[in-house]
Amino acid sequence: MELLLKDIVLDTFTNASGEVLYKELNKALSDSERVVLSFKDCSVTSTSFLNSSFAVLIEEMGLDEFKSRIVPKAVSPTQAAVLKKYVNSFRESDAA
Amino acid sequence: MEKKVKEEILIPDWTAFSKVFKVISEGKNGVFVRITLGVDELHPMDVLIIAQFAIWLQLREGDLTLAVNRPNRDYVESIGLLDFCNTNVHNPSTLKEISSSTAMPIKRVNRETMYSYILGTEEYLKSRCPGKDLQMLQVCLSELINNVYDHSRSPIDAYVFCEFYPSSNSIILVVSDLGIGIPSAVNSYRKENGQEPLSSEECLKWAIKENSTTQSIPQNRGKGLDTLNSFIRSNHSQWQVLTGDVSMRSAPEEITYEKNPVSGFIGTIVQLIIYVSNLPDIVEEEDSEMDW
Repeated sequence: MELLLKDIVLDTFTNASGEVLYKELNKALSDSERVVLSFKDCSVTSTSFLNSSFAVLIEEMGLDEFKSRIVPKAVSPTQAAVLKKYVNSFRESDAA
Repeated sequence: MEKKVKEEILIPDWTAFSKVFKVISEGKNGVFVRITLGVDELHPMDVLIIAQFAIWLQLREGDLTLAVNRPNRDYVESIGLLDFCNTNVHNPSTLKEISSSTAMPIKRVNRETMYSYILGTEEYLKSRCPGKDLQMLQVCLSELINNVYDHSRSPIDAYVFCEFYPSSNSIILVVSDLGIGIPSAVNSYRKENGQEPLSSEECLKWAIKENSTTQSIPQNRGKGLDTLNSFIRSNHSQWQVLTGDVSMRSAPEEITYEKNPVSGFIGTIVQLIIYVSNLPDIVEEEDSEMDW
């Protein structure tokens, strides 16, 4: 399944928008083993946005499962650096 | 009814801004201040300290008059400092036009206006930094503005000022607030958790370290300032923080901490100096999947 981030949230900077993405990803993950999330034409994500979306999923499912099931697509070099730094700062033991 | 108070403040150098913070700490109503600026050159950090002070005074039925020497007078007029102060007392209001060709209008930012401000800043700087990828600005500005709202308890929102310097081909971005400051926020958290207080320098080091969070809001994970530090340093740019009685300056090779030169400093002010030539060139976005 592929989701377009720009169709889901109005911004990529706030916790509120991150919560919206979390709900959409959660729904998609219940229907599909692998979810491709396209960042095409989006601003870069802040850590607040990721705290309310990716971090919650990582803590729920574990880092390894998150990385195998959530696949970013169409990311700029800066966005890729932000995502890798953020996600790789978690450890598998951070899962709840 | 409290009596009106008149204060004369002379600012011959940067450290004299301590007189501004002394007035704020006294918390009186109806204070009318005249600041005489004697500094050789006004910098973006000075601009935001004055803007916050003017708004703080007006909210307490006081006012600020500025006596400014030339060429600082031309600079203050060109960036619309006084117009900004007079139109942002109660709510954010952006000046539609300023005469400066190198500055973005000063902005009082809240969560609702953050998105449009950040994208607007990037758009403004595109013409001055042709071919350069400016997404790093999005990273830095969003982290700093979110920090004000998550942690500072600033009574008058966050303030942002951005200026491009053609002579050094650099961008200076400043974000400020009149909140509790980083050392106070960290030590309040430690006290709540039965831990001994840290020195201001240790508090700031702790706040910048990855995964350190006071959890002012439950979603916080302590990754914001670390992300900003990482991007600034990998870009060989610089950042500086003044908060409480400590200051930090980050150059590409090292981070130095020292006593805040402005005594009695209230809130937090962060300045970024981004060297445009160090920014990556714009590359075509690939439609491929990213490997973690």
